[in-house]
Amino acid sequence: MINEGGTVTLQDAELPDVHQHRRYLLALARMQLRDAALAEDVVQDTLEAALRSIGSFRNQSSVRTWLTGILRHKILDVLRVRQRQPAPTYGLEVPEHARATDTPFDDTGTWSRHPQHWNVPDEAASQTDFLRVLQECMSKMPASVARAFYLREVMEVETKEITETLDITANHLGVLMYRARMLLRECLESSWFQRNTLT
Amino acid sequence: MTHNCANTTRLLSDAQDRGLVEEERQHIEKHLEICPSCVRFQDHMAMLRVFMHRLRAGLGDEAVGEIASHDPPR
Repeated sequence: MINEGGTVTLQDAELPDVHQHRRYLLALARMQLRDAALAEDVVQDTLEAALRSIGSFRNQSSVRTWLTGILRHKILDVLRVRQRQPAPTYGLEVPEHARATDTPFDDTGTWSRHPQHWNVPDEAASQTDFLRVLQECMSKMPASVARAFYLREVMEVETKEITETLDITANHLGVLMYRARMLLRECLESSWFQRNTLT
Repeated sequence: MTHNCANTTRLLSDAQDRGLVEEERQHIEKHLEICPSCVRFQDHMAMLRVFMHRLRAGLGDEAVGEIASHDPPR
C-alpha cells in the first residue's frame, strides 16, 4: 500500500483535516502502545508514509480508514521488534483485581459473582461518560493482556497476525483475550452498570 | 471438557476470535439451556465488541479523544 518508489513530498495542505486525523491516530496509538513518546513517533511515521503515497489513495475508503491501515502496519512493526527484545519494563505490577486467581467462579467452575443486567446508555451525554469509564477500565488491564486485546478489538488485527507479531500460540492469545474480557466485563459492571441502574 | 460456567465462558470468548468446532458449539448450546448467567455473559461479549467500536469511533472527538491519551496533549 505504501509506495516507496513514488516518493513525492506533499504539504499538510494536501491532506485535508490532517490535524484532526493526527489527533485520532495519536489517541489510537497511545492507547495501543501505552507510551506517549513512542506513539508520537509512530504517528509521525504514519503521516509521512501517507503523504508519500497519497497518490495511491483512491477514495475507496475514507481517509481515516486509510490512515488507520497505515498506522496498523507501523504499530505491528514496533511490537514485532519489541517482542525480540528483553521483556518491557512496564506493566510488571499486576493490579489486585487482575490476578488470575481472582475469578468470578467457585471451585466447581460455577459463577460466584453472577453477571448482571446491563442498561446500555443511548443518550449522548452519558455515552461520553460511559466511554470514559470504559477507558479507565481498559487502562487497569495488565500490559500483556491489554496489548493483545487492543490489537484485536481496537486495531482489528486478525488473530493469526496477532499471534505471529507477539510470538505466542493461538491458545495463549485465547487466554489473554479471555482475561481481558473477564476483567473488562467485571470492571464495567462495578464501575458503571451497578451505578447507573436506570428506573 | 467439564460442563461448567468457567469452561463455557472461555468458549464464548473464543467464539469472538475463531470459528468453533461442532463439539464446542454443542457444549455451549447445552450449557446455555440451563444457565441464564452464561446467556447473559454471551450477550455481554457481543456488547463489549460494540462498545469497543463506539470507543474507536469517538476517539477523534474532543470529549473522548483526550482521555485516551493517559497524559495531556501538548
